[in-house]
Amino acid sequence: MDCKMISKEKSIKNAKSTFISYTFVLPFFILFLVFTVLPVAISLILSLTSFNILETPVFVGFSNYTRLLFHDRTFLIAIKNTALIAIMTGPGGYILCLLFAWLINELPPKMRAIVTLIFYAPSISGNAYLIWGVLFSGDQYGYVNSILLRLNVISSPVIWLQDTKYMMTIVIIVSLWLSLGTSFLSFIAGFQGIDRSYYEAAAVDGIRNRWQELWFVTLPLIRPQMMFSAIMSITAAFGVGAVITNLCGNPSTGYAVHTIVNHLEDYGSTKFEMGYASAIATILFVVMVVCNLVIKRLISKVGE
Amino acid sequence: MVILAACLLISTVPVFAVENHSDDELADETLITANKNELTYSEYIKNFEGFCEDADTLHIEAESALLKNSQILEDFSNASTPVVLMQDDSFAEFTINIPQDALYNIKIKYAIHSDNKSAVEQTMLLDGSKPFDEAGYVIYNRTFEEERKGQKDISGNDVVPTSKEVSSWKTLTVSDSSYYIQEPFCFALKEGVHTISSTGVSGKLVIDYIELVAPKKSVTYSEYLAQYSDKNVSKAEPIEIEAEDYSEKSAVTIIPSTDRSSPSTTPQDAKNLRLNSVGGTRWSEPGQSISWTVNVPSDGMYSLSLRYKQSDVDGIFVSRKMYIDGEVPFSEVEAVRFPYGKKWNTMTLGNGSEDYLFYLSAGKHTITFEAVLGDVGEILGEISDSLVELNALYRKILMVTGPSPDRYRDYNFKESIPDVIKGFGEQYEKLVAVRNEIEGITGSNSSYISVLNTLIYELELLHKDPVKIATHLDLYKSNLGSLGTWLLSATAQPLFLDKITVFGEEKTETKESNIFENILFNVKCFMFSFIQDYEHIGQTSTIETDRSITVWLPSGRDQAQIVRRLIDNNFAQEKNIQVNLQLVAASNLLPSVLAGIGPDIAMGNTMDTPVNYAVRNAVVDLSGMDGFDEVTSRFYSESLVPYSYNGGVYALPESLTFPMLFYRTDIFEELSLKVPTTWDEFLSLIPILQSQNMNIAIPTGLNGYTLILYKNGGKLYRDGGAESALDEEVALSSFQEFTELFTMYQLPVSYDFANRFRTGEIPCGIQSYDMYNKLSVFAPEIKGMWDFVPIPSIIDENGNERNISIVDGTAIMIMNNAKDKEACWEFLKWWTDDVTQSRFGIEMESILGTSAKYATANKNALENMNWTGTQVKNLQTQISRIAAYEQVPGGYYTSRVISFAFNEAYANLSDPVEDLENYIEELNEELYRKREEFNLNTKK
Repeated sequence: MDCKMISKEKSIKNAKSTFISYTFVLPFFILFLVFTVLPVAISLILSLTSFNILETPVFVGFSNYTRLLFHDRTFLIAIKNTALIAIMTGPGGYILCLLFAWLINELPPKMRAIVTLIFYAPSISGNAYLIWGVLFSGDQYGYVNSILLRLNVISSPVIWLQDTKYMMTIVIIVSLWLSLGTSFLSFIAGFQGIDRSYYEAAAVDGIRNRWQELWFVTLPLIRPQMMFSAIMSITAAFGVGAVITNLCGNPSTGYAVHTIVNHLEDYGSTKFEMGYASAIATILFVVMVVCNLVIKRLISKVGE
Repeated sequence: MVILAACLLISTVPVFAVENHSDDELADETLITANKNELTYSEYIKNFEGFCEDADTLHIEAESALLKNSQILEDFSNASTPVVLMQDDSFAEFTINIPQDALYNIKIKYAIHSDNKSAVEQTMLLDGSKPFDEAGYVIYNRTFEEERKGQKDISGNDVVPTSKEVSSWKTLTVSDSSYYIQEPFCFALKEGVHTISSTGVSGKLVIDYIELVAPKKSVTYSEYLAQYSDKNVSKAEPIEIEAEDYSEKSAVTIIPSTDRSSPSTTPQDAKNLRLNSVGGTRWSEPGQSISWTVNVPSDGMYSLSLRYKQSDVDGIFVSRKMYIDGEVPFSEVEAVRFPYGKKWNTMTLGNGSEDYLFYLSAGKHTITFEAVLGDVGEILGEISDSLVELNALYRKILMVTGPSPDRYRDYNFKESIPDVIKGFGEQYEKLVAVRNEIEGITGSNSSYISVLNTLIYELELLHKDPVKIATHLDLYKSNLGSLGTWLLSATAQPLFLDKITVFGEEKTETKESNIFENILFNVKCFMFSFIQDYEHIGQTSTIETDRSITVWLPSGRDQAQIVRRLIDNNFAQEKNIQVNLQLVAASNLLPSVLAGIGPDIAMGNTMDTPVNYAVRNAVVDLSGMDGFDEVTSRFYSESLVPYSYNGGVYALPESLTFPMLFYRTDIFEELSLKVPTTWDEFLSLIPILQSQNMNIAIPTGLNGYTLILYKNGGKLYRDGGAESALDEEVALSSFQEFTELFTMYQLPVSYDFANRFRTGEIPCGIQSYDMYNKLSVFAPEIKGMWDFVPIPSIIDENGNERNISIVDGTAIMIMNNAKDKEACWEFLKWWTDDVTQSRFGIEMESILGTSAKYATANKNALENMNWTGTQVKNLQTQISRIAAYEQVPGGYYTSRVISFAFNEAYANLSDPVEDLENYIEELNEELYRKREEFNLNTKK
């Protein structure tokens, strides 16, 4: 009886104290619910319907998914392209970020600030990648065409962004260039946060070279940043779409660089098939969740 | 006359085409063209120093002239004698008997008779030729006044008034049409019989008579003061005139504007928009003038002060010529200077030490300020002359080196072109003198003359070290180009005026606001911006009615204001329907309709939108509406095709554009080329132009393909869109033909037409006819040097000419969730009718300038747009041969397939037919699938 009383009193007390914490969380929670959870849920529901945006959705079961997975040739191309871009720019970009961050970390503070800005600039300046569109313009006055024409390498302008031979390479280069973004900054922040005493202690314990220092001291200490960066990189790699739309158009010639996001946009805005587009989004969502789980596993192995 | 215009303008810009002439014959020919008008006015007038300068006035009635295509009107409003009506192809020749060798000004009494609002121009030749370079053109000024001044919209914002022509008799004295020379031209006429001939260029006018008068002598300020030495400075109270309350203006583009940069501008309000100033870039072309009426209480001498802002032209002043009652009182106010400043300033007209005094008798007077080039005019004229010379030198170098000289070869320029090197020296000295003159005026080494300095440096270098000519030729050409561009911009004389004060003894100082007042004002503006009702800006009246419709317009504010005004003045009153016109971006339509908050009517939809909405039952089928047949008869039947689907019509066309053939008249003339009228001529033109390093442009993608496809008699779909017709023989062969234009003929795939047309690299191309708008503002330096004609034709199997142009355009549609569909239909009927469309087009062009020429889909309204006679004829020829392809469910896949197949064929030089065939199955699948989605019969 007493015991019960006490626990009841305790839980009321508990509730009172946590209530305040919940009120603090509430604003974000509402926003998160309305702008993230709800849209995902609605999209899941819509993916089971045929919805042309202007009329009421009609329930069609899993037919969107069966069509998407078994009958849509373009989707297969999109998966292939997305995978290719993700593999090249996800891990590629990630390793680049780590390397550059590590190198820059060795610079004196003032230099470091300047070089950081230079590397980070492409991703803060919004649509700066459009400059690549000018570089690789199919016009005879596009920079690359103009230089190659002058050097007599080519005799007539090449439509770089419409020619299936070059499109994928250009897109990967541009994506890599763009990938030095948030994850790069978080690496730099991580490196800054490591106390010198760790390195001194490690030296006493018998660390022999910089590589060992990196693997056994630095990386394990910035594991949270690595986690964050990895998720950012992979999400960004799977979400590549706008760059391609702006450079090569949507759809790109022969779907040569058509990604899942492009496919989604195509169905959502050109073909007005929102149900189908939602199914694509759901698949993309699942793929990203799985990837994140795998990454978590991999990161936990660092330093072991 | 086009040639004449070309000659006038050619002098100011380096002619690109010329540089490609490798063979001497062509180069010689262009030299002749360039040197045709070698005598400048200042050289001309020096030759006639002994001529009589106060000859008697000679008067010639217009009806006595030799006339062609002109009409004599016996009884024209308030004209005492018969008058002559002239239009764009009219010709008149006046014969005069000159009693003794004398100098004359030519005066013309005229009245404008045009329906549209742009300049009226004529050529003028003396004894069949231009006596000197600058002569040849007469621009007739027009006068407009404002109607409905002082109107406010329902939220209290001022509404821009509308302009109306003041049709009165006016007199002009023939002067420089490019405004470099300030005083009217003196024509030297020897004793004997002479002719003055005139040909219309654009616009209609009536001419009463012309007069030859002795040149007017100008009065200096001290002479002027001496005339009025007995008059006292007035004791009257200062009279303030708000600049935006002008009584007359010479161009419709001059409209009152809202200045919120200073709280001292009157009237000013932080909440509502007030029209409180006039001018700026809208009052920057030389020759444009504004007049104000001032009511003076008593006779006496008055001074004049102006509150102005000239923040556009850095490094130099702008000039205005002042008239009182149509006369310049004394020579000092022929070019009043307004220096550069970021802020508003008040200036009293004066010579620095004392304020000028003007004599005004009691009563009404008109004060006019006209934009002039002033003291820089003649300097700019000299630079313009230099440019002609320098261009000629450039062509002479080309004759030796070709367009891309070998930088390792010794051309021995000192031996081969000594005159060019000498020319460089002469022009160098001339330009240095000009630069010093400018520096004398502007006072400092400003950014204003940096372009000139670059060229001077270049000339000095080339003169001293001619070997460098080979390596510097490109640079030299581009420097000439920039100087040409600079010269154009230097003629702009923008000036804002807020207030004019006429005062006597009692001088009032206008106090400028201090920094705290400025901050307070800006904070207020910012706060009020939250409660401003942007939806109803410009709406002037609310009517008592329960019928109301919401209309969305996805264009600019100016267009919306014009539509608003048309609705308020006509539609709302007549039909008793309230219209909520809202400016909403086109991309918002779909989400809003989805959310159920869409409009009743959507305007300005792209061509594929209506059917896209129609298949999803989101728009109203108009074909069942009352009076539908009458409404459709306003349009060319083809223009309804894209909006028809399954027997219904889901939108009405608003604008309609279609490709025409644009070409550069000057380059065609230089190369003695004929404008291609048949497709064969068009094809044979390609190698000719390419041999001169020029090219032809045709549209790429679906637009280009359909041009070829329809020419060959093909079509895109079978059975109303059930299946693609691209697998047919004609479609495949057309695709091959289309692709070969780019692979075999090497037409450019990617290009900026306006830019390359302007430089002359692409002197000929098929482009949508609204390219006219872009070219007229984007490339003013080639004004009068280009034209457009119907696209080349082929002779079809029945022996008929066929040149089918594929239309594009925008449409207006009624949304299915509109409550009052009858009211919506009334609006559509009103909006697309002849009168409304004509009014809209004319208003657009008059307020926004030539670049806003409206490509209306209404048959009759098109004729009322401001096109010249030949332009209308060409447009009508082409419009009778237009076609449109149907918009079908899944139709987006067609353009996708065409561009995929084209890109592959172009990039890999593979067989285009095979490339296209590979995609047809995919295309048909998409069409079937889409038709199934909408429960239409499919072929599957």
